[in-house]
Amino acid sequence: MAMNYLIGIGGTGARVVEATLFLSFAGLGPDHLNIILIDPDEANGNLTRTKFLIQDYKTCKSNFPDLPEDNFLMKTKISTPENFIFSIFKEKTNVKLSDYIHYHILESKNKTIADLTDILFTEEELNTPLNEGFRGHPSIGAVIMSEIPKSEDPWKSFFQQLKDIRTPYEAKIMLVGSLFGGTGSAGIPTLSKILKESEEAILQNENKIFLGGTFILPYFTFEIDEETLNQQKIKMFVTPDNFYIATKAALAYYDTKNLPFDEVYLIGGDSPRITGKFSPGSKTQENLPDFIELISALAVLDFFAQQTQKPQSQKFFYAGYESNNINWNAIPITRNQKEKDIKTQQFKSKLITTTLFSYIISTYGSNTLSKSENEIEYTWYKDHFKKDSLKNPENITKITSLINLSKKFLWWLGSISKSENKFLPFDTSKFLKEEPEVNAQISLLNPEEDPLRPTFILRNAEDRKNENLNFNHLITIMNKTKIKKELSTSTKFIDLFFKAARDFSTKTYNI
Amino acid sequence: MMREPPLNYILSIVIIASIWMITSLGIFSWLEENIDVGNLPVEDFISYIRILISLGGLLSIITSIIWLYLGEKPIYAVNIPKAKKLWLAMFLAQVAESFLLTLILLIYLVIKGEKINFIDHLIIYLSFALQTFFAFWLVTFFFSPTNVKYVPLFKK
Repeated sequence: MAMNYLIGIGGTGARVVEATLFLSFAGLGPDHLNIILIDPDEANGNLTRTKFLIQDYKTCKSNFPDLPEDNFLMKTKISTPENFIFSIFKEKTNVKLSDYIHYHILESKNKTIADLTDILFTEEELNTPLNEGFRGHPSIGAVIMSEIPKSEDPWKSFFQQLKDIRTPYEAKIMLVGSLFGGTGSAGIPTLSKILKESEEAILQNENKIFLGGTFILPYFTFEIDEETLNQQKIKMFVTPDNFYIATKAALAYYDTKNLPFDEVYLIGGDSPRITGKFSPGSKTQENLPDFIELISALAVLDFFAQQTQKPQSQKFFYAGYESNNINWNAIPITRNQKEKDIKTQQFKSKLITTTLFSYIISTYGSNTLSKSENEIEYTWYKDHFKKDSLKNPENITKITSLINLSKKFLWWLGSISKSENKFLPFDTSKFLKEEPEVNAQISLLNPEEDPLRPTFILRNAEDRKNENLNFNHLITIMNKTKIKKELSTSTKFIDLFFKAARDFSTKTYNI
Repeated sequence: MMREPPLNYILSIVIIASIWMITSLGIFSWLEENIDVGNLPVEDFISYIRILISLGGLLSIITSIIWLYLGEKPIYAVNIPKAKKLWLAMFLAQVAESFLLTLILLIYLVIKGEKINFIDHLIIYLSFALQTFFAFWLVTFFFSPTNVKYVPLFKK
């Protein structure tokens, strides 16, 4: 089995990993995926969100090991080293570049190097605490990330796995990050060389690693909050004004360095959107998911979907807007044009089914579980669960874990479907009470309150096949759905909701 | 499969028709040999109760078909209490129908100036009951649409 590693670098990298996980939840991921996150700002809100998502996904996957073959939910097995976040610094607070390179010792013992350091770095760069990131200064990150501890996780596990590989290019590794900040633009070139040139990667005259990069160009913006800057006496920080200059500089630098990537995806948006408030870093740096992260995640999946083979030459892929409204056909789903139609159809079908599944299990499913045994009179319940103890604490815990993951999926989908994001296939007003906000619980419309409301989660009329089907029809389908008796009780519950959502989607939408 | 139209419609009609054969052709034929209806020609009396039970059977078929049709409606997949009320109303209507048929028979006997003994009354009433609410219960118990399959009385 190929070794698939997705390495998310910086806040944007973490958000692309988040999108990849949600697509994997919807059955669109590879069979197996290892994940590592890299960020010096361990408290970064985006990183924390992805960290919890990885844990939730793994928990859910292990809670339902007997999901049948025809149920595509969580098909991807996600693995991580025990410690899967490389936070770069061992010290948790007040780490500075000057400390890291022992500047004060250099000053007394090697004046020449100290002088060179003074030329390369300003005093602010040398003395600004870096625990909240490299603050848009990749030159700092490049120095600090030039050494990675192979004896500690996550790298210990990574290199051990790499060592065990015996076939050239069997280790598919994808580095994901932005080029307009600090951590991503520093980590991408630095790590590409470290990994590809490591002794564990070399196999006679070949290399074990097939290296991919997803470089994300500026796609969001924020307003600088002068008050916060003054209050916290912050002197070194990222501003959106620098995004394009930084990106141009990074790309020009990469061009000269002949980076060892076998395949590169360049992803960007046209007019950057405001995705959150200004924050120099830490837990306040959390942004709403963006459509560009979905496109980046599709690039990641396209990379892992390729057959392992010796690369002939470097390949570059990019995607651009064809119109202001992104519909299904505009989504860059695959590099292979011959497969585009069928893959687009699969993508559409799985995303719609997963959305509908997430919605009904988070509302109707959750409501049903909160009722007492005698109150539940639905046919599907009496058919499949009357004799089993669906409501024992273990089953409830397992199902609740999946409901929580489903709610996160809906929150993510709602965020990327916001009108300013241009990803418009979904009409989220049909299932969300209000638009998703950072750090806010998702609020869902209760289908039982208005069961006759058509379940049109898709915006465009041409996507709909039957205009008359509603929530009542969905439960009718659920009542008639057959599931395997030998499944565990909690899996039966999930599989029933999944199959009802799938069959209802097929009847209602053009998929 | 047995709960899907048109099979459940056909099976329901077959079951109710079978009950009619048991009551009208079986029990009432036996009754013809054994009942004492005074001066009233027994053939006339039996023909009369056969008309009544056929009417009961017909209404039973109509009510059952209505239930099978409405039970298929998606609204009852979620609103089970509403389905229960509907079924109970139909069932009680059938119970009332069985009493009504018995009452019509009593009025007929009064008009004719004859009477029959209690046991014969009971047998006739039970036949009416069998042909009306029992037939309705039986077919809805086995052939109700999936959405409402647990609604009929005693269906667990």
